[in-house]
Amino acid sequence: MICPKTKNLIGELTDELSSCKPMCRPTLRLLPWGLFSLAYSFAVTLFIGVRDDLSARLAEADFIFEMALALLTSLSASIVSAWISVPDNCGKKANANIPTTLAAILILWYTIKLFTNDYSLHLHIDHCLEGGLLLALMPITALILTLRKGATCSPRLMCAMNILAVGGLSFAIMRLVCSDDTPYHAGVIQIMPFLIAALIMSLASRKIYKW
Amino acid sequence: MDSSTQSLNNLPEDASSRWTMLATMAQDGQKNAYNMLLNEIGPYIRSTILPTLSNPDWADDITQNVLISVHKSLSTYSASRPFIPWLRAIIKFRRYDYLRKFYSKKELKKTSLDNPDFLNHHVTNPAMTDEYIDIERALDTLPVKQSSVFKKLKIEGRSINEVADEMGMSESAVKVSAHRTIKKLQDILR
Repeated sequence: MICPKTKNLIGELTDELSSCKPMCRPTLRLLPWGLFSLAYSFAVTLFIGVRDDLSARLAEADFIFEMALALLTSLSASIVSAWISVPDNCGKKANANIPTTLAAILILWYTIKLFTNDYSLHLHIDHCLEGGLLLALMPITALILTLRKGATCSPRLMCAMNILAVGGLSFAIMRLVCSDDTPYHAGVIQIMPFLIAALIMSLASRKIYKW
Repeated sequence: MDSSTQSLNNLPEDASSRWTMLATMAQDGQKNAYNMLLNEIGPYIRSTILPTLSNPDWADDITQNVLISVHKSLSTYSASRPFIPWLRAIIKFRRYDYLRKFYSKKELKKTSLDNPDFLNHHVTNPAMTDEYIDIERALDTLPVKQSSVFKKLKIEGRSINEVADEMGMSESAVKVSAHRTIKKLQDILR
């Protein structure tokens, strides 16, 4: 049994109805964002300039491993973001374990490197902090604007996946432009902005993805 | 008879397929189908959330929130997926959202057991859970007369006058007894 107020509301909603095209598959909807982010990252990389020893580093297995982990984290997190942007795909929330695990492996990798090698504490923040922010700012804005067209029922998880998607990509690009690969620098300075952004976004997640 | 009316007459009996079809027609802008869909899912939403709420009055508010959300997010529904999981995800989200906002109100945190609405607003439906079991056990440890006054006044919701007449006590004695019971219960349950 529904109350008269609800009946009136149903009448109002019916009057307001206009035809709407069903959204295409979430992953397809995110494709323009992926292309934009890659193009933007490429442009910023050219603007900042690639590192001098890039060709030598690309031949090293640990460098490739780090890059692959960061890019896979970004790819899987962006796919999960797309899935959870519609209400009934919340069943796929468990897939968030994939990017989370990949990101955890990356952090663990740097932690192991930190304790197994004798690195000097070198925390210069002159260009990497601003470079990382420059790389992440546009993609994260574009990602939020794209996903806000959906209707997520998991705003906090959505924000966490957004950060991993953009953070993973930006981190990988930073490895191409910054020649300092020490865990203090790569693991702290280049990851820190995304951790701070994640904290802020998680606090404002319900407002960001309000619908 | 136009084609939309014909389609509405040929809807399947099964709720899931029926609502899937109505939602698809609503996405095409067919107001009759949309009105039928909202009128059918309204009672479903209410009956889904009602057993999970301590106050039945909230059910109508949440139902309205869910209907508005369905309206806003209609474009996110795809006919290739079943309708009911989509709807239930919205119901769960809006129910949680409503309760989170309600319980985060600061004035509610100041409520004590003296407030007659306390039990209505702070525990889930007793028919569905064993939320009262600790209170009932604590009441059993009190003298019969004292627990009887408390039950009549605070659980059955009778007035002080009624309880005083029934128990053969003065009104002030009933108030004092209830107050002492609350204090004892607080000590036991702490």
